[in-house]
Amino acid sequence: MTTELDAGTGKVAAKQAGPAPIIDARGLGRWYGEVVGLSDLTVQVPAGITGLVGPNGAGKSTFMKCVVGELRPQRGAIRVLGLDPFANRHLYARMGFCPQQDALYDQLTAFQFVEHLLRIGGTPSRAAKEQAAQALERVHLADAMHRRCGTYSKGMRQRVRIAQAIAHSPEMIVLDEPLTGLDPVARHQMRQLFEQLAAEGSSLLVSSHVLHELQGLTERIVLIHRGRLLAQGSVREIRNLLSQHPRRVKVRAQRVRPLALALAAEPDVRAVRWMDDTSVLFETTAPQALLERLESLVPTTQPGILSLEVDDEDLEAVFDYLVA
Amino acid sequence: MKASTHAEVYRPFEGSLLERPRRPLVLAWSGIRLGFRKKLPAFLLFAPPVISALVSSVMVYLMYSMSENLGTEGGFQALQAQAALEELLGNVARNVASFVEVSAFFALLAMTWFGAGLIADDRRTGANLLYFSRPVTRVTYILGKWLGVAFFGVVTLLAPACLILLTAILASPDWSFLKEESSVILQTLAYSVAWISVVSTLVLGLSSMVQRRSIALVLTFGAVMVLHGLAEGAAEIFEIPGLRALSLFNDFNALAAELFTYRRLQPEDSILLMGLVGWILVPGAILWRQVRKMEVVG
Repeated sequence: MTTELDAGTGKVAAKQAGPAPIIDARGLGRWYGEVVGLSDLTVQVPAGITGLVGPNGAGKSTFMKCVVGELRPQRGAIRVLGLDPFANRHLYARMGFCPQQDALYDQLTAFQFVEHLLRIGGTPSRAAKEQAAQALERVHLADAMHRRCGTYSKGMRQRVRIAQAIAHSPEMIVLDEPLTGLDPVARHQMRQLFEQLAAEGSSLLVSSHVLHELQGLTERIVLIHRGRLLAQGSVREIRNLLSQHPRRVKVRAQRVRPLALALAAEPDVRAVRWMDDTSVLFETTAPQALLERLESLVPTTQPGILSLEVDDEDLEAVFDYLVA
Repeated sequence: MKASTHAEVYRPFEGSLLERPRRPLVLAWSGIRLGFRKKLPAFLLFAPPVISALVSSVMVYLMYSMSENLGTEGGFQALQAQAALEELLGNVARNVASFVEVSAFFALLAMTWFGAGLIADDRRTGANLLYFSRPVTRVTYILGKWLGVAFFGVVTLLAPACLILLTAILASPDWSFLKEESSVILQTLAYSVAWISVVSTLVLGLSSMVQRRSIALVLTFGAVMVLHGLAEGAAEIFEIPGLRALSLFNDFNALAAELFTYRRLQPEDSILLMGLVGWILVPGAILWRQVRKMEVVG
């Protein structure tokens, strides 16, 4: 796959090459009353690990529910593994889904829960027992698998959800925010597990609202925001976008005007906006250089700095930039 | 097949699945297993009908065995005693009917207690997302949950009634109960199955409307008790006997009268029997609609 930046829209678009995509969504639209879930989302996801990234409310879960056939889009069409995912029982046996919701029965043990779901899927009783135990071992819950889920921590519950999604060795695994609630060690273990699953031939669609969670796990990222595809490509491309994105530095000072005039002349400063008598907002591609220059100006201009704020390098900032 | 940007190999699904998996039974079993996790409510709700069934079975057995012993002796006194026993034995069918009617209340308690959370909890936790991302249809899901609730009705109502009937069949001389009173068996089965079916559908219908088991519990008892009170009150105030059909108990009394024929069928009984149909259709429609929403948000 190759990626390129559209100069007009600032969006990164992927150029697909090679085998047919495992998910082929075209013009998906879904609304919840007046709230947009998905809006004309067109995306093709090839085999392998793909990260689905977007801020909360971006439409990640809506898209995933469309993929697993639990939510019917009001517009557009979607094919998963070449099939229509709605009411397609044959397809469901080939997919694993880890929802964001808790979804566990507190009174059952993790083993009973996973075995129960395997049997619902059509796995024979004995095989279901073996696969449940194996899946729970893979998520490092072997010691606690015969304890009731009600006694589990949030992270352990998350592992049970992952276990039930992978237990029947599905072709495609859809994981909605699977790393949420896990401690750093568990995160590392789960990332290793996802890599193993991919190496074994499963395709994974993993969502997260934090880009760095998926870094190292996959190079292929789909960014969605407000139900639309914002960017699709490698992590590197997304990071490049981040570096091109002007960052905002807000300075509050008793005498802000001489400081603003001096900093406005800096080469990396794209814009200066007066907020009020004591506040000014700089847009710069080199925030660190701006801060260093500001520090050097303090002895001469005596601005009486009250506060300094720099935008986070988070996805929201990129989204704001791309959308703008 | 190689993935375009990864080294991993695309692997088609290789697992083996059952040709005809009994998904409703698996779903029902999970509901039963969840119910039996709490021992005290299970004991309190199952003990009265089971004890009552055991006592009734012993009495039926004693009556038949004493009758057989008296039958071998001669004399006027023996004939008198036999007549008295026959009078009692003649009421076996009536006793079974009474037992079923009383046990039905315990069945209502047990089915509501154990069944109220079956769909409400799925909605609250999102477990339905896991079910419907598997090869589970709406019908499978409803049937599985329905069988789970019905099981508790079978344990508290049908099984004890069958125990008494079985005792009567085995203890009666020359299978006379089976030969002469076989209609009682069918009537008992019909009444029990009707009660279990209606209550299971009611419990699940109301459970599917909420996300908390406790609210589903209150709703179910509220629907049964409040509507009974309203039906009785409204029928008295407005002098419209047909309003009694709003009460589940009245409807089943009419059914019992129809089946066991121990009292004369009243003119309004046909309306009450229609009410029974309403008790299964309305919750059934609610259940179907709610589960449809849970399956695929269309």
